[in-house]
Amino acid sequence: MNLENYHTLFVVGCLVLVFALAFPGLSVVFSFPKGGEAFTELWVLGPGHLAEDYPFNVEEGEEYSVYVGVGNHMGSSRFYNVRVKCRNQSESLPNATAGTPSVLPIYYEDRVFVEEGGTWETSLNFSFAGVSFSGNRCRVKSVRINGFTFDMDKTVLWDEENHGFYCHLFVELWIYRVESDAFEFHNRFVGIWLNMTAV
Amino acid sequence: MSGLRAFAILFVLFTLGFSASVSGIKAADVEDGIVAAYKAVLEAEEAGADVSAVLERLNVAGEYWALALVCFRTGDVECTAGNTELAVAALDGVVEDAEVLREEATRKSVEHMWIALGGSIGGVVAAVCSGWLGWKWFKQRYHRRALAMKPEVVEDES
Repeated sequence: MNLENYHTLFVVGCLVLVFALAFPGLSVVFSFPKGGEAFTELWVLGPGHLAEDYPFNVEEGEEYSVYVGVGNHMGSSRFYNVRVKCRNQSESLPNATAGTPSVLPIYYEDRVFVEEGGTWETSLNFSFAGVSFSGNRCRVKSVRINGFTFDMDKTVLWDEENHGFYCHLFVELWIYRVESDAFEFHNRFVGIWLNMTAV
Repeated sequence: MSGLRAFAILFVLFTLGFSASVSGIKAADVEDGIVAAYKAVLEAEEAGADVSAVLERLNVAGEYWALALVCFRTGDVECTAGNTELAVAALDGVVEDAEVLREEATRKSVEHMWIALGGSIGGVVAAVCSGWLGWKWFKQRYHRRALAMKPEVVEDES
C-alpha cells in the first residue's frame, strides 16, 4: 500500500469519526421525523377478556358484560370520550366514509386520558328492562349500564332473515382536538349485536 | 341534604340546564378546567417531562366528570353534584404540577442541548486535530521507513 492509499484510509476514518461525534449535536439542532402512522385502537372483548363469548341472546333483567378498550398510538397523550349508544336495525350507524357520528342519544360515557403507547380498558356491565313482545315487535323500555338506568323506549322489529329481535349496542370514540377546542368524532366505533329473547 | 337544597339544585339543573351551577360550581368551568389541565399536561409532555402521574390524576377528574354527565342524563341530581365536586377536587393542583414538570423538563432539555452541542463540537475539533497530527506523524514515519529501506550506495573498490 502506498502513501496515497494510506491517506484515503485516514481521511475516511476521520470522516466517520467526525460524523459519529457530530450526531448528538445535530440531533439537538435538527429534529428527525418520527416514523409510523398515528392511530387509535378501539376494541370490545368478551367477558373472558378475549374476542369470544360475546353476549348474544339476552334476557330481561340478566346482566351481561364486555370490555371496552382504547389504545393510543397518536404520538402524544390524548383525551378520549367513549360514548355508548344503542340502535335497532333501522337506525343509523356512524358513517365511516363521511366521518360522521350516529345521531342517536348517548347513554353511558367515559372520559379518559391515555398516554402515548398506553391503553385503557373498562368493563361495560349492561342489562335490559321492560322488554315486551307483541307479534313481530319487541319493545325495550330501558337499558342499565354500569349501574345507571337510561330510558330507551326502543322498538325492535323481527328480523326474518336472521330470526331474532336485534339490538346493536355500540361504542363511538371521540377525541379532543386542541386546535378546535372540542371533542370530534374519531371515526372509530365497535359494537355487538344482541338478540332480545323472552325469559 | 335538606329538601330546600335539593329543590334548589333540581331547579338550577333542570330549568336552566347543566350549563348552570351545580353546588356552586359551573359545569362549563369544570369542562374548561379539565381542558386547561390537559393542555398544561400536553405542554409538559412536549417539553419532555414524564407526565404519567399528572395524567393519572387528570384521569380521575375525567372519570368523575363523565360520571357527573351520566348522572345528569339519568336525572340524579345528588349524584351529578357529588361527582362534579369530586372532579373539581381531583383537578386541584394538576395545572400547577404540570407547569412545574414542564419547567423542569425545559431546564433539563436546555442542559442536555448544551452538553450534546459542546460534546459534539469538542469531539469534532479533537477528531480533526488528532487526525491531522496523526497523519503528519504517520507520513514522517512512512518517509523515514521508506528512506531506511533505500539500498546503500557502496563504492567499487576493485
